[in-house]
Amino acid sequence: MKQANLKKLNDAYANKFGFAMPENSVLSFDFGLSKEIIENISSSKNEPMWMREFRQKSLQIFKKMKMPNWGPNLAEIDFEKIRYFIKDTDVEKKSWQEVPKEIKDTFDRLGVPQAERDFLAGVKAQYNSEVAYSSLQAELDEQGVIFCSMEEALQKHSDLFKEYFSKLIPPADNKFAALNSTAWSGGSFVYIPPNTHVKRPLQSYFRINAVRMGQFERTLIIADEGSSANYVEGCTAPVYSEYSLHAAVVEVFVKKNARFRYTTIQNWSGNIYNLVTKRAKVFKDGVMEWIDGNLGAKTTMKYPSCYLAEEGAYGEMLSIAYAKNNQIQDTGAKMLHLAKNTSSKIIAKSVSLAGGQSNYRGLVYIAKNASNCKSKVECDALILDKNSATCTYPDMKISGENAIVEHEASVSEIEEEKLFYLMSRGLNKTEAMTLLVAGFIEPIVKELPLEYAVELNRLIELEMEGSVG
Amino acid sequence: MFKIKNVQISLNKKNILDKIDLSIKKGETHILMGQNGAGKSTLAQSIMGNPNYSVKGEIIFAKQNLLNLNPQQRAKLGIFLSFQQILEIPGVKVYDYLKLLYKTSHEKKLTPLKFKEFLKERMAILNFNEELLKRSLNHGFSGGEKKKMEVLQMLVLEPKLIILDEIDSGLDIDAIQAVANAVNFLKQDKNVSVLLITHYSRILNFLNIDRVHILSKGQIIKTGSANLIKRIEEKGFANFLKA
Amino acid sequence: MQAVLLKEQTEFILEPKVDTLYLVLLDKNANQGKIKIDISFKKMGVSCQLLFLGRLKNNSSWQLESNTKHFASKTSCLTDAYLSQADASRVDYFGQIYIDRLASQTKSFLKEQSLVLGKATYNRSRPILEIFNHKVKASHSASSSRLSEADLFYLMSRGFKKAEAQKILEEAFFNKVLDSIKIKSARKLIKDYLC
Repeated sequence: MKQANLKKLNDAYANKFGFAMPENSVLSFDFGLSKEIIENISSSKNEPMWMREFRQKSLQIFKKMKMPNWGPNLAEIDFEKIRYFIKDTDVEKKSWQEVPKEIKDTFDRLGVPQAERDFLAGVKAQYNSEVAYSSLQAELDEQGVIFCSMEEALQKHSDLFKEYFSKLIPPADNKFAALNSTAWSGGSFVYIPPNTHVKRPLQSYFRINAVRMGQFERTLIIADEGSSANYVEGCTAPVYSEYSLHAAVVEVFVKKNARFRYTTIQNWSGNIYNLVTKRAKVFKDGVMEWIDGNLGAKTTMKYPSCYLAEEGAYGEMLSIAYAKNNQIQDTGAKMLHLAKNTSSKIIAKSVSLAGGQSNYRGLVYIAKNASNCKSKVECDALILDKNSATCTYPDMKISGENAIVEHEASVSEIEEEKLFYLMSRGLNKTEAMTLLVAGFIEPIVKELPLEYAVELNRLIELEMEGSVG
Repeated sequence: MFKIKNVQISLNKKNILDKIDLSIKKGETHILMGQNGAGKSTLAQSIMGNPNYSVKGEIIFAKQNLLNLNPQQRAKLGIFLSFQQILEIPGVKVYDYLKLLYKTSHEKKLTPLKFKEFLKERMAILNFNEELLKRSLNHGFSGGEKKKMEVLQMLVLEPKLIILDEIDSGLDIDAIQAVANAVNFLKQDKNVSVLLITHYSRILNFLNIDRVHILSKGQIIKTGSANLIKRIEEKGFANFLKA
Repeated sequence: MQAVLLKEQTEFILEPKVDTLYLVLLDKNANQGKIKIDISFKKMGVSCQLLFLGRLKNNSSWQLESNTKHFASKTSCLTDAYLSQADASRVDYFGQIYIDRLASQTKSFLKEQSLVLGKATYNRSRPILEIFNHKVKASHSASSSRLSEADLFYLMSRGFKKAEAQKILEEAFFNKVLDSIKIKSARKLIKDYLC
């Protein structure tokens, strides 16, 4: 019974909230990409000339580039059927009554506050969090920290913006970066001044009053010398989005002696292609930590990377991928050692069940001049049943002298002995498997902010109930 | 209350135990002794329902034939087995795990504060190191810590029939005393029945024993009172078996 | 288990029906080489081992590929590559383990170990797992490192010259392989190769 409920959840999103466009909408927008549409996007935001030109150039690049010839099947994506320019006032609002029971039940189980539920379920197009975060805002202002939307940053902090924007991920990097470069809208701009330490995590999700689920969010973060901060985005509760393609770009600059941690938990509804390009450039003795939890979406392709550009730089990636019901989580990390004495660590854990497939794709590159570098990669995959699968595609290219590189990957199922042990203590099979899966991902969950960790564990519990025989 | 009737146990078609008959009345403490390889653990694991073994015959507890029940159902009836080979389960915090065990085995819920008190009382009986509560279940635990962890789970679950598979091996005298205290606590509190599988006899000094069974080459060759133990101590196992 | 030395060809397509140890010894004198080995397990219960051994030096450049595919149940395969790289030698190793949906209770492991002795070496490693059945045990590991400074120091402090100490440690690296091989004929081939 419960398994039926979970499948219904995704269908509920797809069917009940569907992609129905009002036939006779006054503001009927063109589908597909064109110079005019890009022009409209730019002018509606009052952008300076350089950004207009940047978008138009990116459009040309996008049109010329080919789709990746590796990875999951993206044939279903029809660029012509996507709306690239939507004002927030045009987003259809649903009423709470219309929200399917299964979704409400999930929110109950996860303990999501009502205000957030409205937002997540598409009842509210924007989330107004001024009250909750006004104290955080005051602290940030005092410290000189800039945390605002990209649009605002382009207007108010244009020099800083221009200095770093697209310097790490140029439009030609890949087709989806080009798409984002031409049609980007929404996202966070963060600047941490030198030697400033932001104690509380910067929560993007509810801080930015941007239109929910911007499909081409662009985020730019600069952690200046000696600074430190945590950035958190996403949520574990299932999130509905009208848009079927999310092609986000995130650029992070970690300057000398700075420390930055970027945490993402995504649980997009099952109709979404989530294709994200994330990259950090780490300067001398800087530390960059990516923490990635991929729970939802139909197909995710995400490989956060670190360019360890100067001596002593350190890059780390901890990731959890959870694939079920024909989802494909194709995730991993790239660590490029471009200077000597740099080090990196990747720990990737995945769980595949009920027909899901979870893939790891990673790269560790040690350049010729990058001597005395260290890298350690550990990928563990758990396959819970016969319909699920997992693949691991690591690539290690080592030229630098005195490099120490280790890579380990293993695939296993839940051991019978452990199940027997826990069941002999009174736990039923589902409870025992849930406990073992929670234990499997614990090394990464313990790095998440507490609310996320709690929600994530509850979510896993709920998912397991629906899927374990 | 607990009856093993004409039970035969095999592993991969190889016969390990045969013609096993054993009855334990409520509140009694029985000892099962035997040399290595006699089949003691096999019996213990099979009572709990380890799927690797095929069992013929009947094992009755609380008027039900256990052979029709899976391990979880047997646990719910009130049977507890402390394992001889103790698995590590990394990532599962001991405190959370114990809370979960309590929840699944007791109808009445306890508030977090009351559970802490409940747990503290039992930890004290065992002289259990509080530091271990924050650690992953059995992960990196010493042999002695693992055994105490088994017994602590027993105290939390409050079972009706306890099967202890060589709980005393590898423990120093203080730890053995602590384990005996735990068993005696449950005897007093819940009138629990005990089947203690042991090699050495030190723990026997701390318990009141009702019956002793000797297992050799897959069969129970002798059953008697606590006096049997003295005779084994005097002669040594090998000689005792020859007699 | 029988032992088979794979030589002369550059491509091998194998379908083992009995337990076999396949041995590949990279020609120490060749300036470059390419070897591709495909092992398909179609018969149930078969267990094999594939061992690549290479002592590379100068500018020699090698491309190695092993594809281990399990289509039948209860099969197992242990793939090991032990390579030492001196000078400016280059290795590109692609190692795939594929376990089909129907190949249950399979065990497949791949281990690649590179001992880097030179200053201008290049090592590329792509160990791949494609697992479509859940009742399996599969893993791979790849590691690349130099001789341990601590070990070198220890030997030198016992009177060995640096070059001698290096040689001893290099031998120790390969001896680990020998320890795992029980078949006499294979052991002899390996010993001869290492000299």
